[in-house]
Amino acid sequence: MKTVTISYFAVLRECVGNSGETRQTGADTFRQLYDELRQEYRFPLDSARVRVAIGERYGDMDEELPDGITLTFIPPVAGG
Amino acid sequence: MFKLSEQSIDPAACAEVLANARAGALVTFEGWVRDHNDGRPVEALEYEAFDPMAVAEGEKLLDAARERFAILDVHVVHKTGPTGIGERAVWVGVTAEHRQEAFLAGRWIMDEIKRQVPIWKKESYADGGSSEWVNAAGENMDQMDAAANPRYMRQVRMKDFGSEGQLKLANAKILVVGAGGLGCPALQYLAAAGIGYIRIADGDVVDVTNLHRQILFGNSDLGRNKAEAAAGHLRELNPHISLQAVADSVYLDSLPGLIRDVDLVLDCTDGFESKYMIADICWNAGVPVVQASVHQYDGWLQIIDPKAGAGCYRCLWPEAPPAGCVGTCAEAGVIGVTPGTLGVMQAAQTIAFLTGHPDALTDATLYMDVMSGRTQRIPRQANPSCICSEGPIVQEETLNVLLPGNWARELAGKATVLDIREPRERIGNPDWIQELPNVPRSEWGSILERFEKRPIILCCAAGVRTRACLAMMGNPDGVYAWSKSIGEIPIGHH
Repeated sequence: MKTVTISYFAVLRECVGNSGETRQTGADTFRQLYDELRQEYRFPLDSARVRVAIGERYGDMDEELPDGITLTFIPPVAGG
Repeated sequence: MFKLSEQSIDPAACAEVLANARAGALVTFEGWVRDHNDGRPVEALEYEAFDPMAVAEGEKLLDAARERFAILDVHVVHKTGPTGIGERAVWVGVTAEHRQEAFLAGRWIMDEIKRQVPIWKKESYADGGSSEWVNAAGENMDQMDAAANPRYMRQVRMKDFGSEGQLKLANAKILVVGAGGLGCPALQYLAAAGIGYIRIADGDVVDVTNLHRQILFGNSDLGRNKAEAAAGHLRELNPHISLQAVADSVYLDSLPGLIRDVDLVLDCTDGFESKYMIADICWNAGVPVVQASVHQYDGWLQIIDPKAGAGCYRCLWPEAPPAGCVGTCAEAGVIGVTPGTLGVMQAAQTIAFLTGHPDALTDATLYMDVMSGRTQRIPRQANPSCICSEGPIVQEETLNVLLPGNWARELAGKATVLDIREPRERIGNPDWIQELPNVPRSEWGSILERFEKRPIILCCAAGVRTRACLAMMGNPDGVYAWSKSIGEIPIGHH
């Protein structure tokens, strides 16, 4: 199991009910992690519709998920 | 004497005021209302002056003229209120012992009136669409005037901004789409900072549920068009700039005309459809867009500049999410400070871009959680597999129809449901409508070729166009008609 620190943005935060968490996961990739979370929190968007930000860059959802990483899942937003 | 008059100007009465036995010359000038401006037919015109400021400024100007020129007296009357084509807008008379000084002073006075006296003209065009408040000063203000205006003294004082920065703002022409949660604060700061020309487009009216975040408006604005109301407040905030209110939403067919002459666009709209439309059309036209979006407590901000090499909006978000997945502010709710913060930051980015700041957000996106104050600035890159790499972006066929939601959803899997209305009729329709493809009149002829393998359901507003479209298809067999009162369908702006 890996330990990851996740921030949620916009509609994802709305679904989770808070802006972030540190959790244990067996996911190999960011996509698997997102799918796991999507099931738990009933996210309305599938993994093709969101971006992952790792530190100061956008990551690829199919990159390997490193242990101890801090990341943000970003959904599309258009409100104004 | 400097006078404002709601009545028509009587030149004989004006000249009488100047009667003087010592005078050897009277030079008069009359400004008339003409029936066109900038190639557009003008239907009506209205002057509005900030009285008594206008009179005080006018008197100051006439005193300056008396000092500068060897004249005996000067009299000016400026019309206010609605003024017809051919009517006198202004009358200037100067008396002097000799004609030379009277001529020189008359010209100088007229130029300075346009430059300094806060009198606005509102032109209504015969070709419809918009009205324009043009500040006579903004029209003629030369570059040094903006930098020397005490109004901007505090920002001009900053060494790395200075007169040069102020002149860049004064010479800029921008379009702000949406005078709502993002647009209000962006407009307030940009108008106050002295952007020379601001065009505001919004087809929505001020609603009581807007007031907690659209703080340019107050109770007295309820029911007014947002672009018009915003322009009214901004004129008072800064009478030295020009403002144009376009009291209409932007459409695929109107947006290209609205961006043709601007340096930059602010997208302050609420919804994916407008976001993609503005991004695509501006990208194709090479016009930079300062974008922001918010959801509850979070927001993001970036500049899409076709010249920056950091890609288009679709490089990051190739297409809009399925309708209904991500709510608008009306659907998801929002706290006023979120669009307020992001709107002010849009104004900051606009100033950064126009003044050439090296670190403007042209190659990065800023994400912000307004409550915790956390931000993340993430560099952007062009995506080589994005459709923008293949040339101009063609807008996907869009989306919506007049059908009750359940009915459309039920049929969508079994048949091709097509909205055959014009694109402008779809703006502001609910998300479920926007899932359906749109085939405007110009493309009716190709419907059969494109969709012949499945049952087709055609939808329009009243049935007239459906019948016309069927006729074009040769009135095929097996046609069924269905209609429902439009009143039952939840259509509306966000």
